[in-house]
Amino acid sequence: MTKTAIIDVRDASKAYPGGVKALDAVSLRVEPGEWVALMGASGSGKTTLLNLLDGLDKPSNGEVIVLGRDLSSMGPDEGAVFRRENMGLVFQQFHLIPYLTALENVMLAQHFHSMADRKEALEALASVQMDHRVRHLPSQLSGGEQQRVCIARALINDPKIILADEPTGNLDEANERKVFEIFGALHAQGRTLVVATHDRELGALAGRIVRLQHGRMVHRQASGGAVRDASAGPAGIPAFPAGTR
Amino acid sequence: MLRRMLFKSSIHRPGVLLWTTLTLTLCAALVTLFATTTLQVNRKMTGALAELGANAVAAPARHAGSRPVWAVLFSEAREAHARSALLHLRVGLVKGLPVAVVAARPGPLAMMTPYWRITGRRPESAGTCLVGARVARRLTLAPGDSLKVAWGTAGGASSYRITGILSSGDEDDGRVFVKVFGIPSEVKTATSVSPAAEKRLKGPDFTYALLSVPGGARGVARLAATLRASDAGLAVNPFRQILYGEGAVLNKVDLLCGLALAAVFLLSVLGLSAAVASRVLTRAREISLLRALGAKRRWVAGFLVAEMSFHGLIGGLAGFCIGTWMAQGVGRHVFETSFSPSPEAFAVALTATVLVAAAAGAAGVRRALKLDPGVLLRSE
Repeated sequence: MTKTAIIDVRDASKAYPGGVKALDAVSLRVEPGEWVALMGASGSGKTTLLNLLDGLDKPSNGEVIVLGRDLSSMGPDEGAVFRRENMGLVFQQFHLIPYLTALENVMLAQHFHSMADRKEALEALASVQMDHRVRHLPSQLSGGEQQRVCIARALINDPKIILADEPTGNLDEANERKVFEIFGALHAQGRTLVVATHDRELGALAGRIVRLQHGRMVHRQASGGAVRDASAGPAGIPAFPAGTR
Repeated sequence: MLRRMLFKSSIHRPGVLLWTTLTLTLCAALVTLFATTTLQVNRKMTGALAELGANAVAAPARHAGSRPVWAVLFSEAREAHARSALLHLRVGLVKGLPVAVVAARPGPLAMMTPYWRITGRRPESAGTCLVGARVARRLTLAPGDSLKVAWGTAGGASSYRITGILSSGDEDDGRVFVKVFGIPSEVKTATSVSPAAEKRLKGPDFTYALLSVPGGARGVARLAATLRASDAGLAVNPFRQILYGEGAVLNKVDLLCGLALAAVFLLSVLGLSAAVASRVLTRAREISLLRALGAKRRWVAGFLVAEMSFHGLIGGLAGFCIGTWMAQGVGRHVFETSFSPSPEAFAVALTATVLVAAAAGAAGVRRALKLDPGVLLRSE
């Protein structure tokens, strides 16, 4: 039975001034609770696609429907509100506020969402094994610890969708493992994850891999490694709307 | 959360904090210096000019329907920190010639007429008078002489001893000044005034007031407007020459300090705007992150302006102390007087500094809102 897509990208293209086409007619449907890995070489358009999904960027053409709302028609403030209500963002470079402690960085996301709650923020940090470093500034934390704070910040508002951009890109192997575990647990909780990554191991953990090349979707691959045609959606769900192939 | 962020972001980059706060401190110090100088010079010059005597006269309005209410004038004059002296004029006959005799309290009158040149001294008791130079010449009077004034059929006669001869260069030279109540107020027995002389006595008593109003022409105009509005049946008219002199000096001081203040304000805004705009660029990722976490544009703008205003507050307080110290030095060495710290200068300095900071912050906001979070946060 076909579920309603939580993310539905329809023929989305993104061109930058000067004619550079970062995305070219990409279509993607993601179901609730699904873990999708976006893979491809640098410059293939993974981050651009993620930016369209979180509303930080708008497509030059096509539509990006998330939770039934068309992000491309939202203004900057409407997009910000939608993002804080529904999404958790994880970055490769962590992007923690350098003058706030780990705890305050998490509470900042709460502040934008509703109201800062110290107890909840501490629980979120504990869930990523960071409860012993809550008073430390980002500069006093290792890369892996910063990434875990970043994940705690992404989770604090109980988002429906988690978008992660190269979450293990700056981590050593031990910290990579911890991130894998956290993402696995999040998936097990039924959260929807879209992760852009170079990391094959992380990609293999995803339920579905979407490969991009020069801004185009080249093919999709189930987590077991079975490569399928790009136009075919998982579990029989059509990947593209009619007429886009 | 916002307060904590404001504080921490401010102290996070001590170099930037030092630079912006120093700029704002300098701005506040200069604003305080010029504001204090303007205020104190105005105050002291107004005080000094008040020593020159009356700069306006109040008299019954020509077409007033009601009787003049002098109590209103004195009340409004007190409100305006003005000095006043009430004068009653009655025409009497001296040796058959009509002479204007003016009765006033000696103290206030002396305050309003410090510019009179007096041979002898001012009258201090009832029964003494000061005679204008023209009257003295015409009637050959000198200090120590007696002066008998006949009031016609209305009031008998009064005798005065002349204590001095005044020379003012204006109409006061043709008058006789006596202590108030020196003119009889009730009808007395008729005197031996001839019917021909009686006819030369003009009109009824006339009352007017001399005023020394601070604030030059503007101060007088304000008092005149207040009196008009109060319907007291009185009109205030300035002594133009004195006021123009006062006004010219005060306006020059105001203009000079105003120009200096505007220059300080403009230069501070320009200098700080450049610094803030460049700081926004160094914080581009932090600002982009706030947007990515769901901060509205208004929140980001408010945060940046509040951050600069916080610096402005620190700079304003420090600058006021330094500026007051500088103003005291200027007062001592340039004006040879002491300038005291004034709450008005404090308010002006603090407002100006916070405004400069907020204006500079606004320039940063403009740049911050143009940032593209999608580009700045990407990892590729």
